[in-house]
Amino acid sequence: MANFFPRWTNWIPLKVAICGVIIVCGLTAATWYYGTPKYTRVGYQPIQPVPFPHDIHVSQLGMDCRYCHSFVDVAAHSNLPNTQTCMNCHTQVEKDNPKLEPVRASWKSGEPVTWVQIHRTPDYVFYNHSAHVNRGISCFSCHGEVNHMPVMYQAKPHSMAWCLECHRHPENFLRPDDQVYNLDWKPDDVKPAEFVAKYGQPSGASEDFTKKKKLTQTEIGQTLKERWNVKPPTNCQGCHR
Amino acid sequence: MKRVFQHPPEPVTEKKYWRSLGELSDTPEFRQWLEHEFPAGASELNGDEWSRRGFLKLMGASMALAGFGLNGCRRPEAHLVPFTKSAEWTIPGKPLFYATAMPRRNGAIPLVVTTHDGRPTKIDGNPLHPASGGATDTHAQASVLDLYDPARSKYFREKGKISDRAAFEKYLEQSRSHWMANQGSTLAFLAEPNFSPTRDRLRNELQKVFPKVSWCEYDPLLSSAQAFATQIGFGERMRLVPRLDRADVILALDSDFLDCGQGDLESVRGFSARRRVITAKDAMNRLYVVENRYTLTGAMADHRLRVAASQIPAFTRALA
Repeated sequence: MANFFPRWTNWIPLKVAICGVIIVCGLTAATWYYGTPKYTRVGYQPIQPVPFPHDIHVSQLGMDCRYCHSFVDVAAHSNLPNTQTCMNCHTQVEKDNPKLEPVRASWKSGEPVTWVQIHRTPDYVFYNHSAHVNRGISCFSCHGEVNHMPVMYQAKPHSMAWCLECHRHPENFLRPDDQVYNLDWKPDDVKPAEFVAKYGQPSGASEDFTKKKKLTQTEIGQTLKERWNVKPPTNCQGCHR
Repeated sequence: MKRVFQHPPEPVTEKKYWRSLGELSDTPEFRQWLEHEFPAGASELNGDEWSRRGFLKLMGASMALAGFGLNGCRRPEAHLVPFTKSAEWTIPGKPLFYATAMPRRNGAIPLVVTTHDGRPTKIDGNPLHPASGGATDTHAQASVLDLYDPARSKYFREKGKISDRAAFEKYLEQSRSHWMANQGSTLAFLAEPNFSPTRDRLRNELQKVFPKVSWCEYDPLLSSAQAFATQIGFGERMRLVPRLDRADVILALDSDFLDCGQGDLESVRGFSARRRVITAKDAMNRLYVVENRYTLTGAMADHRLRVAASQIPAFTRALA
């Protein structure tokens, strides 16, 4: 009887195994890169023309977010401040600081300052800043502790799963509407009696909130969700429209 | 193998044929111009070692090599460019409307200009104004592009050279004292006819300061025949404003009143208002056109008569 399998076939199992290992490693590497915050660019901190310190402006000087990002509560798009806004103060304060040279040059020449974009929403996603900040979603929820950042970086993944975390359970993130721009706000800061007087409490609440010492985030969120009738879209065309 | 196209040699005859005066004179300038007539460098790429094919080969190889660096696999760095100075009243992403008017030979078209981020994006008629009712003509629609015309003057110029404001103000100051001395007799304004009350007011103020100033208006297309006719007919120079929405029968004698280039939107709207039949009671108007060339109005006519321009007075007399 002839030899059915020629001699070279002896190596086939080894070759298949090696190929298999390479493919699995490749898939693992690809998932590792594209499926984790490395790809969503958490921590992305490009070099800006001016290393604008949010911590000094917000935490030390107590400036409101809306002084510079002035259209965040009326427009879908949150604007960057124009050179004029910077120069409102910096004609008098730190007017010779070499770090501010690009701003002064822009003011002199009329050419805008070219900032590097950090948070990027794809073109196929509709996102409205005003709809969020006017209904108790703080800047903090998407941009992190900006008030403690010496130089701005991306703090949250901004992936679709991350969006849906809040759209499915907004009660975990909603806060009173006067605390939206207070990035240091904690649920413990809420005084239950004042909160109930202003927003009431949910219809299905098992206990009287005014008698509690502190309210949890879920209790606050649930109250506001009912009060403002917050129903974030979880269907595709809510954002992909 | 490269193929260099050679023009077939001219057959040797007694006659010499030429296609242009330049070819006949055959000057070196003309030859140079002929070589550069075709896209930049086309003649350089023809025949020698840097042929088009060789160029593409080399560029393709360098593009492929550039790909090895995988620079294209990085997410590109995007930039945000805010304004230097704020555009007044604008909210990003929301339109801002301004009411304005566009001067025309017969008056002005009331307009609404849509702006985004301080930049005009669309021009439409003002729906609240009876002279437009939301309608415009082609010129008004296209005029939004004028606002981005790179040929618009951006600088003060003196004899074709870029100057500055200070130089102009100095010149104006000097000229002013000169004109004050001679009451403006050496000062003349050339202008187009315009119905702007602001311009009339400024012109009156100028005439108070310089009583001898000459103010000349000229419009190459202006017809003064109507004013002449109304002076004979009614004793006063007037402009006729027909109420076409009340007319059952319209006779247009060499009058292209539907041509929106005239800027007379009211007559177009008045005419078309009577062409719509919605209920059984509605009746259409009837348009008779007598004209010497085919116009837009002639195209809309129910009855059109071709008559030479010289024969139109005769037609009118026969009709009367």
